[in-house]
Amino acid sequence: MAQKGILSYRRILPVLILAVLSGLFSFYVIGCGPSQADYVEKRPDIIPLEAMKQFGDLNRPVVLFAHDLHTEAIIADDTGTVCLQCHLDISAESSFKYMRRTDEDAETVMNIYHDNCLACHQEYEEAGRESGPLICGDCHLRETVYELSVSPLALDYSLHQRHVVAAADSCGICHHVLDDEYAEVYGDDRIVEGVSRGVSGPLRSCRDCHLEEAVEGVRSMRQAAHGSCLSDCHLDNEPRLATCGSCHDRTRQASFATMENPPRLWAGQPDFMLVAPGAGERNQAKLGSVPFSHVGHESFTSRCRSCHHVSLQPCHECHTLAGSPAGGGVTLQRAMHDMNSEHSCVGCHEEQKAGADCAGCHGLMEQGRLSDHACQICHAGPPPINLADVGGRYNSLDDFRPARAEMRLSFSEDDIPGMVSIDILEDQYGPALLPHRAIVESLRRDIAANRVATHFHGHEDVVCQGCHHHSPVGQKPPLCESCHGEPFDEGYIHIPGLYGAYHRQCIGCHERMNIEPGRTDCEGCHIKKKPGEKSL
Amino acid sequence: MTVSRRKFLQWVAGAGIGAMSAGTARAAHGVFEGYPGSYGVLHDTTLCIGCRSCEKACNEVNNLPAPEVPFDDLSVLDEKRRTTAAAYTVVNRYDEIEDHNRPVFRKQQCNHCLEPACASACFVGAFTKTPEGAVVYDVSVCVGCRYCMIACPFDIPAFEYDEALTPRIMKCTLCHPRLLEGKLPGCVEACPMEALTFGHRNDLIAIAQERFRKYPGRYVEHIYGQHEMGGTNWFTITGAPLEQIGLRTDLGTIPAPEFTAGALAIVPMVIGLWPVLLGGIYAINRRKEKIAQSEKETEVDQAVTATRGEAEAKAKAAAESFKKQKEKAVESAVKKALAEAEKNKGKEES
Repeated sequence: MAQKGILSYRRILPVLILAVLSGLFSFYVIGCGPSQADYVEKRPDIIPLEAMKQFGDLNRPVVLFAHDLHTEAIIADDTGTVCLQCHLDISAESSFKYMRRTDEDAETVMNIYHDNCLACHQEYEEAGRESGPLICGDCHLRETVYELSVSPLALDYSLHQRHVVAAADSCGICHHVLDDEYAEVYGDDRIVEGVSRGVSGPLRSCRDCHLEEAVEGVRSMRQAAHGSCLSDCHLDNEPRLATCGSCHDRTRQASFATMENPPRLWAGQPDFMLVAPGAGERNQAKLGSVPFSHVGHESFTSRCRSCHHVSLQPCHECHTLAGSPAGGGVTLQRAMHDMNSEHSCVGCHEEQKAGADCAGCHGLMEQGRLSDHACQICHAGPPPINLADVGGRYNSLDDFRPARAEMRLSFSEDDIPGMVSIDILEDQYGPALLPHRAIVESLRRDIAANRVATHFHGHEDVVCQGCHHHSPVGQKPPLCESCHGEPFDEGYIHIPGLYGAYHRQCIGCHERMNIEPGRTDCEGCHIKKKPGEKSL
Repeated sequence: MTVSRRKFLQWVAGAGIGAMSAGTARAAHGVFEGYPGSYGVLHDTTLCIGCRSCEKACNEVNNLPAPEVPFDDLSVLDEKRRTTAAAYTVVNRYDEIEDHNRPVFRKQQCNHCLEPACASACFVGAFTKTPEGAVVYDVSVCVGCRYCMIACPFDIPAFEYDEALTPRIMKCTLCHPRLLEGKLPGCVEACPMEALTFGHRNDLIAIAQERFRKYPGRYVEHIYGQHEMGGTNWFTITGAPLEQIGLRTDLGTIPAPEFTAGALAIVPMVIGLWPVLLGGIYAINRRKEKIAQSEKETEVDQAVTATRGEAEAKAKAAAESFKKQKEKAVESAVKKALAEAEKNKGKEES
């Protein structure tokens, strides 16, 4: 036999090998992609041990160290010197490195970890207690099993007051800057004013000096808080606070005790002010200044940082008309009107409108956009260029509010329709009976009970617009069916039909205001007709 | 005909390249973007109140059997349901949704894919994508294989298992007959909240985007069905994470037929290539046989020649010896006769 068969084994072998390889490759891609554990635990105490990175590439994955697991184990031992089991010292200036003060060389640092970690794990293991790993791969995990999730600790008015009480009014324990430095900054008048309030001066925020990053020998806020609050104070008095989670766990934060009506914090701020650009820019500003009750807004917030997100300086110091590097390029207009920022005026007011009391009407209105006629409600003050002349003429918001009488309904309350029968769509069910006047009265009561709502609604006639939207303010709004007709009109694709418009408005409002939410059975509003019945 | 292996491989390669270039041309053709002006429905779960009016209307306009539980009984929402032969559409309630203080309701029915998986799986062509946007079913050609049920990524087609003789596939028709009459789909007409919006597919996308713009933060800004499985004529928009209300996010944007088209594109290749392959193998085998045959023949010839030579030589030798014997016999006979004659002559003379 001189000829070999075309499909001989030797011919087909490379094809087989290719097929098997491609199969294996696809299995690799599907089965062994990025190493992410099935379940990743979010913890506030995860510290990646990366000290070895400075000496070159690592041979094994970085250890994700769960600090609280270790602290809690040591606290359970009740050794009395919790931190010193691992850290050489814990003074305010300490480096917090593990069992060393400096990183000498790769081998030394590596040995410090391996020798000490393993020795302790071994000890616990031998004592028959729950212990850590003793095998390389159990610490140097290839999979990411932890994710850092730190909830920043908010020193709100309540938590501050708890510290005031605990420190027996000795402000200097935390506010460590000397009084004469304050005098230098503020002048003697403020100091005297401060003394009259029982403290030694207008104490400022930690963040005025301690910034995000350490500068010129002043520690960063993070270093200052962990060094001074934790090491110098809490660990002495309450070692259990040595765990990260005791401050930075969201659920534990929610369980912090709160103080009712904590006293106002005073850092030299005015009670009332006219908000305007900085003195140098006032001649360029076109819009009127904004009368602003600082003390009023303090009662709506939980802490200074609700608005003063970096330091306690006035807004215009960083946010200029055209934006400046100090303000991150954010203009004064943006800083005040950004709808997505929790620190801006408008952003915060928008959030208020999402509350159940307001959402009934405001939930239906277009959101995320300033309405054109709202400007004057805030910008009611004198032009910024004249601010130097107004002196002490304005002392409260009331100086800018029209008289209450002018804001009342422009028509008699008796002219408000009482019960309204909506029967235009009557078919299988009887008409819907709408307690019209009761609804108006309820909305007016809600608005009157809310200072912000009272201020911003202005004239009481606007309450009608909650339902009678896109129409002139006044006693006789147009009929709903003027705009809402047959559904799905190709010319007006964004306007619902009458049937949809009624149900969306009534049911939507009830849902948003939590008035019998989920009550979606037809007979909740309509009486079902009997078969053959024409009209009720 | 003789075919060398080299020649055969050239044919195969040529056929393969031909098939491949056909595939490339198909991919470049692009995705079907739907019939222009086709209709669809936009379901907005932020407006849906789970009243089941749509289910009731669907049941009535399609003359489906009365349900076990009446439509105004909302307790059925306690369990997750799917479409059945008796219910072209179902509303499900999803509780405990992230960032929601109330449950989310989602209506489920045929999504009317631009390029339907059911149609691509159906080997008798019982499903048709109509220019109006509906995917409709033709019972007269259906063989009841239920491949469509397996193919549908949304688990929509249902089968009349209790019909012994004439079972049908049952699914939403987008009320295609009603559309042709200028009426709205039953469910859309009945929805009190207009949580179902009927319109041109393009308009529905505009409406959804307008709602995203008007109410920032209220929606997950994704129009489910705009691209899923190559796009559908039914859209869902919601404020809930899609997976949490049972919307599959693993489907990708490639229409189902595209997957099968790859495999089906091989069909012409198989049809074209198979004869070449089999023919080639046949030709080569034939060639082998032929060579063997000719070899065999040569051997036989040689053997025959050799044998014949021997035989001829033997025969020749035999003939010669016979000839010699014969000559000898003749000679001796002649000699005998001569001697006899001599003897007789002598007797006569004596």
